This record gives sequence, structure tokens and C-alpha cells, in this order.
Amino acid sequence: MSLASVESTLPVAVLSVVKHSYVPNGVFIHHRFKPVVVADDPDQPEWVHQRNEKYAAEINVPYIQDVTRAVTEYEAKVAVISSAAERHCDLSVRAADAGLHVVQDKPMSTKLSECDRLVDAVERNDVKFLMWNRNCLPAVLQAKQAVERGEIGKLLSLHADFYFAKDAGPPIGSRKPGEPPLDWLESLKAAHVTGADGGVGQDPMGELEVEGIYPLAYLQMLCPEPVKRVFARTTSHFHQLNADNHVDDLASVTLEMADGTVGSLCLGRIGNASHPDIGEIKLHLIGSEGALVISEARPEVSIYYRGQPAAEFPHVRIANDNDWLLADDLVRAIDTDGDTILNARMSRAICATVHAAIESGKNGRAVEVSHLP
Amino acid sequence: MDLRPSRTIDWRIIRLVFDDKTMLRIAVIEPGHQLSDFVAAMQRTVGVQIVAVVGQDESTRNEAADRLNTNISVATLEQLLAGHGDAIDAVAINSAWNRRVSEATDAAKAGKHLLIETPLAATSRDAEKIVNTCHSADVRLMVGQRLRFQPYQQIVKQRLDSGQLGKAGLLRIHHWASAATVDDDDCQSEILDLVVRELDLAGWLFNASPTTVYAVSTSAPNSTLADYVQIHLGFDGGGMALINCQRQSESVAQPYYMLTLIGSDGAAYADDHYNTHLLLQGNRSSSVHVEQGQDVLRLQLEEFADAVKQGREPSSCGADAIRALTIAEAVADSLPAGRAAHWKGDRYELG
Repeated sequence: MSLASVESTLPVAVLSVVKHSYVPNGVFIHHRFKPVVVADDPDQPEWVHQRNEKYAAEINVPYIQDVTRAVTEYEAKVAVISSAAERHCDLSVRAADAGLHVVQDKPMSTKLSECDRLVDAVERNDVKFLMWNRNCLPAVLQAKQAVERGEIGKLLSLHADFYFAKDAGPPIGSRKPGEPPLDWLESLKAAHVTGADGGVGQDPMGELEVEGIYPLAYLQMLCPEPVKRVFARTTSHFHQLNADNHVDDLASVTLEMADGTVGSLCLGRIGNASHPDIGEIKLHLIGSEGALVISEARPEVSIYYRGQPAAEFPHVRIANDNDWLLADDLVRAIDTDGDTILNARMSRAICATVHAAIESGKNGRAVEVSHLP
Repeated sequence: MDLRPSRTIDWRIIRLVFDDKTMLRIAVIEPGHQLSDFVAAMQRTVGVQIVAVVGQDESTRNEAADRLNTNISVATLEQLLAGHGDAIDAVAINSAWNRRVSEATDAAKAGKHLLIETPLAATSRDAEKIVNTCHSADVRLMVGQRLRFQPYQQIVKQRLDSGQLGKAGLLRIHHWASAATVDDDDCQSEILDLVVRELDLAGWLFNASPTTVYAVSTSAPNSTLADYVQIHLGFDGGGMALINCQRQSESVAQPYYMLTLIGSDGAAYADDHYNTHLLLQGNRSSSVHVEQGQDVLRLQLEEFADAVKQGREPSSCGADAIRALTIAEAVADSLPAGRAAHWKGDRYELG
């Protein structure tokens, strides 16, 4: 693939946007990206078409029920995919095979085999892939800089806490005898209005699978060594939806890296009542010469006022350029034929770590993580 | 004017008035680095009097006796029991681990109640011996566990027990101890010393023994110590704990503690990060650790005295210590094996 000419505009096709639209919106913050079309497959259910159509109207582009035709006719150079999770990789593979660079929402996929197919397609077609992430939040970048400057010496252990203080429907134990279990897809579709529908799709997914990529991407950026082995505990502790669908909403993972570095992750969708803001998200890094404690939310400003809605976060994050920096990272990768901050192989490694952790949570044993050669 | 009695009664004032004659008289064995804590605690402790100091080093012992204002200062427990047995009701044992079984046995057989610092013994088997001896001698045994009595842990436990947080789901602890605060002078096991208090804390907060134990460790380059131990516990019903204990390098000046407890209805975040002042000097800024007061030992001593007077088990008892040591032994098994240990009804087995 030839390098894009510097400062040229990159036409973007949004391929399915059934979840929160923060991924395409994040991309379009950057002046180099220009939306040209929203597209999806014609065999998708009506609710999918409705959401795609609505988003197309919002960004003032046409909605086409034919992915191949949309990409060709509108000469798209980049695809942004925010479909149901089980379709992520298939849409990304088709985009890569059409020569488009790809930005994809998390999780990478519900199946490792699909991740492998995508890694192959990206590398075979020599296109760029960016998994959307939070690695460019100011506090996370500050942690990275401190580690790179050697301020805490050799990294010995690193830990992420990633609790989202959001509800996911009725609390566990609320289903009455005789009532049917909650339907995953219908419940997630209904959660769209609150933006808590990150796991929308046919396949139920636990919090580890839906959100795990964020903290694991932090750890991967800070310690690029592959995760060799994991031990995990997973449970449905809060939400009837998760319990009914046998997926976790609370998890803890021990991570053992190939070079002996030790890590850990605690994660959960812990309910609105458990934190005044989005949730407690922290990094703890221990090195041979010191240690670092990072609050992901910083910098922030506290704002309280009479009549403040209960759902409004009183601590407002500021100086957050994550979206622009991610988009710019992709621009740089395209312009210089470089790599992105979270490419297909790295994303696949995270997905493999998550899948190993889920397996460990079920069998109670440490599980080796299966990496690509 | 409202003349109704206050709804809250300060029982400590009541005890000051009525309990003078039932003061628990304690001999402290090897106060060591806890001497200053004892001195501070005795200014406010109700129902307890330190009447004797036992210590092998004469100058240290006499200094302790002087600061604690006691008249009895002897080198061994044997001398204490033979010469001053009638002057004491209880002993507080802070001696080296390898002396604890014999000292506890001798004191219990002499009818003295026991307050023994964590870890109760070097092994769970030795701890069981102490517990059984105390039971046979009909004396109270309390295991000193400063973590349980610290303000962070006290408030979290209180709110958990009140039901505010719902069912405990996840406990996350980071404990980075500065080298100076680790009691490794006479440890048979550095790992045990590093983790046993946190393991007790986990059992206390979940009010249960873990069914699964998995541990990993790492060390700094050229270090001969286990600098870092990470313990992953699983409890019946889905509960879990991740405990990170770190022995800080010399270059890190101060310790750090964080405890998060996620419950089904709420969460508690106790974190030194959020309890830190800022010192600005010239072109540098640094954090200033916020002290949590010096009430820990006083609360322990008062709980011990109350348990003895009321003829009940103390809140931190021998069974708790056996549980913590048993988990610690599972940790020690899991570390080299790289496998999880699972509870099989009477012991942990590697899976």
C-alpha cells in the first residue's frame, strides 16, 4: 500500500454503529478524517439499520445497506467499526481486504480464531489497525513517561484497578421465581440510552471481556513483555443480567509476564452507588528504585451545585486529549508507514489474555496464554 | 432543657469509676520496637496496667521498665513466674517466633492470659499447640494484629458489618512496607512475615477461610529477599482477594497502604494516595504521609482486658491466627509450584 500524502484528508466509512458512537466521533475530532458514508450488511435486523441510519443523519452522510458498494463508491480509506462484538472482526477483515485502514471498537472479538483471521488480513494487506483504547489519557501517558525515564528503575510489578460504577439492569437476586432469565441482547439494546451497551450482541460477555482491554492495554504499554500465564477469579456479584447469562461482572487476574514481571488486574461493573464518578481506576507500579501510584482520572476539577443531577459526575476530567491523540496516532502510522499504539497483534494478545483468564476463572487453575508465533 | 439521658454512653468513663479494682496486670516480654507504642498507649489505656518487663538484654529491659514505670524487670519468663507470679494476670509476648511456643505454654500453665503478637507462631501446627494449651489451662488468648485495629480497617469492617456495603465481593490490598517496618530480625520465613497480617485481614473481612490460594513473587535484581509477594484468594460464593505485599527498597522512604473493598451494594476505598499532604520546597514538591494516630495498641490492650474480664473470646483469637498461618503455608506451597492450592476440608492441596 502506498503512503498517504501528507495532510491529505482520509475519507472514512463507518461500518455498523450500533453501540455508543464515541469511536467514530473520536476519530472525527481529528481534521484529517472526514466521514463519507455509514454502511452495513442488508441482512442485519431492523434495530441495527435504525441506529446506523440515525447516526448517518447526525453526521450528515448517507447510509448504505451494502458494505462493499459503500466502500468502493465513496472511496473510503479508513473504516471505523462499532458493530455487535461478534461481527467486529468480520467487518474489519472485509475492510482490510478492501485496502482500508481499520479503527475498531472493543472487544476485538468473542473468538480468538476471529482475532487470528484479522491479524492475518491486516498484515497481508499491509494496512494499519487501531483498537480504540484509553492509553492516551493524561495520567496514563504520565505513567508511561515516568517508566521510560527510569524514575522507578526496573519494573518489577504493575497493577491496574478498573471499576466502572455503572448499573446493568436490576440487581442480582431480583428475579422472582418463575420469571424467565433476562435476555442479553434485548437488555443491552435497552441500555443504549444510558450508553451502557458496550457488550451488545448475540453472545453474552462478561465485564472482563467487554472492558478488560482498557486496563490490559495500559499494562501492555507500560510493560511490553507478553503475558505468559494467568490465574483469575470471576463471578457475577452485582447484576441479574450477568448472573442469568453466566458471565462475570467482577474479576481479578494475576498476570505473569515472560520476563518474570508480575502484574494484576481487578475489574468490575460495580454499580452506580459504589463511586461518585465513573469509577475508581488506578495504576500501581513498583520498580527496583521506587514506586508510582497513578489515578487515571487526574487531572480533574470538582464541581458541586444545588440541584445537581444524581447521574452527573461531580469530578470533571480535564485536559483529556485521548480521542485526538489516538486519531493522530493512526494518522502518523499511515503517513509514516509506522505502527499504531494498539495494533492487531497487540490487541490479539490482550484478547488471548482475557480468554485465558475466563478459562482460569472457570477451572480454578493457572492457564497459559496462547500467543501467535 | 432536655433532661433525657444521652443515647450514647461512654463506657470507658464508667469503667474508670468501677474497674479500678479489676485492672488487668500485664507483663510485657521483649517490648522491642513496640516500646514507644506501649508507652504512648498506657497514657490512655483503660483497665490495663503494665507491671513488669521481661527481656534478655539488661539495658534495653531496664530502659523499658523505666519508661513504662514498672518495678519488676527480669531476664526470663521463668524468673518472672517464679518470683512475681502473683503480681501479674497476663503476659504480652513480643519475643522471637522460636520462643513463643515455650513461653506461651509456660505462661498459660501458670494461669496467665496471653496477648501474643502476630504471627502467633512460626507454623500453624505450633499455633495449634498454643491454642490447645490455653484452652486446657482455661486462659484467654488474644493474637495482636495491629492491622485490624488501624483506622482504615476499623471503619471498613464496621461499614461492612453494618450491611452498608452489601456482600463482600473483592478485597484489594497494596501494602508496601518500608524495610524498617518489616519485623524480619528473627523471622524463620520472610514470606510469612510479609503476608500473614494481610491474610488474617482477608479472613476477617470475608469472615471465612479462602477455598483457593494462588501466589506469585518477584525480587529486585541482586536481592536475596522475596521483595514482592502477590496472593490471590478465592472464597466460597465467588468472593476474591488480591493482596500485594512489597518490601520497599532502601531508596523508597515511606510505606504505602491501600485497601479497597467492593461489596454488592457499595465500596470502600482506603488509600494513602488520597490521604497525603503536599510539601513545596524551592523547586521541588513531595508528598507528606498523613498519620493515622497511635490508638492501635491501646485498642488492642483494651479489647484484651475486656475479653478477659468478660470471659469471652477476644476479637482476634487463636483460631484466626491458625487460619492465617494455614493460608500462609498454602502461599508458601503455591509459590514454587506455580499452582493454586485448594481447600480439601482439612488442609490445602495443590491442584
